[in-house]
Amino acid sequence: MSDKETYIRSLLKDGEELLLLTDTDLDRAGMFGLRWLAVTSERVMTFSDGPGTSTTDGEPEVEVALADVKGASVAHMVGHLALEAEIAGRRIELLRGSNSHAEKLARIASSLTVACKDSKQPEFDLTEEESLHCSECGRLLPERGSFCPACLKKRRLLARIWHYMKPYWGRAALMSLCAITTTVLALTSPYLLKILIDDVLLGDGGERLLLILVMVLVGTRFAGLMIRILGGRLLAWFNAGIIHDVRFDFYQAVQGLNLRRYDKTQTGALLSRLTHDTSMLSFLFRIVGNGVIPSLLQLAGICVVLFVINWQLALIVLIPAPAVVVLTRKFYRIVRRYYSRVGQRQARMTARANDSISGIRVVKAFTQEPSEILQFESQSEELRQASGLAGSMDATYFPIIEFVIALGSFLVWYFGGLRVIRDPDKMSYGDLMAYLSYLAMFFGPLRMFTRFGGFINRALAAAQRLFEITDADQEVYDAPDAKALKSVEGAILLDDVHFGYVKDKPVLKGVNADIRPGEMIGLVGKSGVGKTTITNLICRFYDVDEGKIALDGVDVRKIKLRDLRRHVGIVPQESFLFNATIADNIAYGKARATREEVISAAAAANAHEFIMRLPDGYDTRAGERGARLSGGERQRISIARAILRDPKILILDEATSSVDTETEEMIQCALANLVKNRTTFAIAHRLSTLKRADRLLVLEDGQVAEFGTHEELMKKKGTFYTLVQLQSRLSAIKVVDG
Amino acid sequence: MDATGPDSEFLAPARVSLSAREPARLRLTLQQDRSYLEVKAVRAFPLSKPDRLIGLLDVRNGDRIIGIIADPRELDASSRKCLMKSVDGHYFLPTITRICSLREEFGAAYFDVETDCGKRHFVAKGLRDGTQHLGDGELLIPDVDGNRYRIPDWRRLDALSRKFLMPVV
Repeated sequence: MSDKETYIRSLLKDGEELLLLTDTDLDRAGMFGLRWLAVTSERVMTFSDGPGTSTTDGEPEVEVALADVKGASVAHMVGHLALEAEIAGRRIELLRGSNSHAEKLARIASSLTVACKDSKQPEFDLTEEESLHCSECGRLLPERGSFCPACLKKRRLLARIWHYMKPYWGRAALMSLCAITTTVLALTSPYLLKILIDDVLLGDGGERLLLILVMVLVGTRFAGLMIRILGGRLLAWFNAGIIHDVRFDFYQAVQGLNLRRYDKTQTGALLSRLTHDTSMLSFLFRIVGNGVIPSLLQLAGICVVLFVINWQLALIVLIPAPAVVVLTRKFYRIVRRYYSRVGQRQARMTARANDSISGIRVVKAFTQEPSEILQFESQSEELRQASGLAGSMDATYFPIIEFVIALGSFLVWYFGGLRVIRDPDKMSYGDLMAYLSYLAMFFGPLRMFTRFGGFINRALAAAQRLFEITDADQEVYDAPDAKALKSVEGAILLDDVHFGYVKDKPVLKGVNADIRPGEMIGLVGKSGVGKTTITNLICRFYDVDEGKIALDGVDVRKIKLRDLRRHVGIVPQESFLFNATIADNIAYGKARATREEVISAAAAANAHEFIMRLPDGYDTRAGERGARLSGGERQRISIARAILRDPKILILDEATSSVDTETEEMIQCALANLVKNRTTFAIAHRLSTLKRADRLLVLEDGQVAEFGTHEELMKKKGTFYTLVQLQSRLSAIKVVDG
Repeated sequence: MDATGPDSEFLAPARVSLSAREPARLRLTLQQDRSYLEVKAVRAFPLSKPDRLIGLLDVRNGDRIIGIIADPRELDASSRKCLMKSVDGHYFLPTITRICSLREEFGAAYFDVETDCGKRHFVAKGLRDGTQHLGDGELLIPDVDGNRYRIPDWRRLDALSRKFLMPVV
């Protein structure tokens, strides 16, 4: 029990129970520091830590009776937030915290509000859904619920990578054999050089031995070449195969990812994992296969040979090795920082230039060329300085390392030379030359290790990021007791639906509605009130937090997800077309649709005519690199897609918001064809477009404010009536403005 | 043009009277016009001009803007005190005065800093991509929770702090 808890417990009266004791990171003066919130069965209190408010004598700063609290909420300010209690119609601030405490404070507010409403004792569950701290070392994580780079289980990760390597073990074994042979052949050359010097040039081997030795040298080099080519080719296919497997698993996981994960992760970040992280992993295999393993073998081989030939000289050779490792590491870090700055400044300059050139019409129209040039010049100058400095560092540090390496060879020349002069029987001139060759071969791999150590760690982190997605929460397609749904009537029940994309910001707060099969429901309300959210919940892109949504009396969570979505069609606000033909886009939801069916759907969506006018007709490529279709045309293709799928439940999300009046009419006609005999949810900004709706569901503050026919709601003169009046006035102003 | 006329975005300081029962909720009286019972004060330029151009929002009318006070120094002392207390309480943007350590691991940057609001440890994701350059050496560093930390001019920090920031500036 902490000092604070002991102290707070000492303040409790007989029978008073401590229900919650938690802290935030902002003190009363708005400085970083601990502040405590204690909720007991009778009171709500806050305390501070710090000078004058020690844990043993601090009196509560705020103290209110729990019975007086009618609710609690979180006030979001800029950079921080406050937990407030509602007491006698007033909101009293209890304490503040930085954004790091947003989720916790929201949970406390929610628990307090629920308890006050039900006149119960509050129950708090502050278990974080996704921790911000590493459970092992306690350090902050780079991403909530993500892995801790410091505690990255390299062994487990390597085991995971090994799992991907398994199917290619035969190739891997052959590659290892190639690497060993290459090393042996590489180590042979200096030894042959020694024989050449001692026995041919300085000895009496003669021309014949010379020819044999040169032939052997050529042979070993040629064999090395062949084996390297073979190893390289094997590695290329080995690498491509593994990366394909990883990429495939990753993409499969991405397609099945829960949408909540998409809310938290930017699509760009996911794509970066698919491209950048797989490239990193691929590069890892390449440098391990091509560089690390052969270099390791080479280093080990050289050490053995050097010690076998002359152990004393071998020790001398190794003298500069630690210095080379330390210096390379240190210099590399320094130089990398300088180059990183170059990269940053270059990126900023490029972004600015890109902005300016892309917006050249605006620049010229506002005659801002001189100011743009001036800004560019200043950024280019910054880059000049950074590049010059980085280049200077590079030019200074790495020759120093070369010099240290050269010192090693000077030592060999001196001590080796002494031995050759004083004791030629124990060390010949050829031995010395072979030593110098081995020395040259020794420091290359050593430097490479020091440089690639950091890279290998980054590549392993990239692998971890990939596996993180592969292991992430997938959409639950089938709950264990999920039912198949062959045919659907289309009755939908919203029963006390509560939902928020983020826990501390509820969007829907108890929505109730009973919708009959085939009814068209207009969803009305200000933006952000939860109209699209309701449709998202019907599609089960998300699950409700409380309450339920039922289709034909069955909770949607108990219906097989594929079956549910098969019966739902969406015409979204932003119609998305894939980079494929118009026909493919229309048939996206029904792959086996005949061309006749595609044409019929397009005709019903009022799209047939404009498609036929295109030079390539239905074979016109749409999407990013396709024909430039107008917003209305894209929207009608999107409607045709929904018509072809023939869903029983239809969602029209602001389907006519981004088009002109004439196009809107055409789309309305298309929609009239589409909504027949389908339960339809229509969201429209222009309320006049909802006249055809059977009933209107008006949302306000996350709840149903009104639900009835257009006529009923107009008669009622409530929220809907006010909204209609407001829009009519706005339209009138627009007409007057022309 | 009268910048503080009846239809202007700007409120004439002489007409403005502010009082507060709690700092976060001001009461505004516009002389010879009307009173607003719950008013929130926000900065129009929170980063570049935090002490000037302060907007008043009508909380009971969906945060509708009432007007802007161009220079709070022109208000009477009591109103100015209420306004500044309220607006200061609405914003929390610690200014980094010293970077004690900055460790980068796998793309995450672990900061240990001193700020005008006390010491703080935080972690920023993607230091190079995340740091915003606001011009004239001013930096804004967001952490993983969406908190932000400001450096008014990195060139004025001590040598060690500058060294830590070198890869991004």
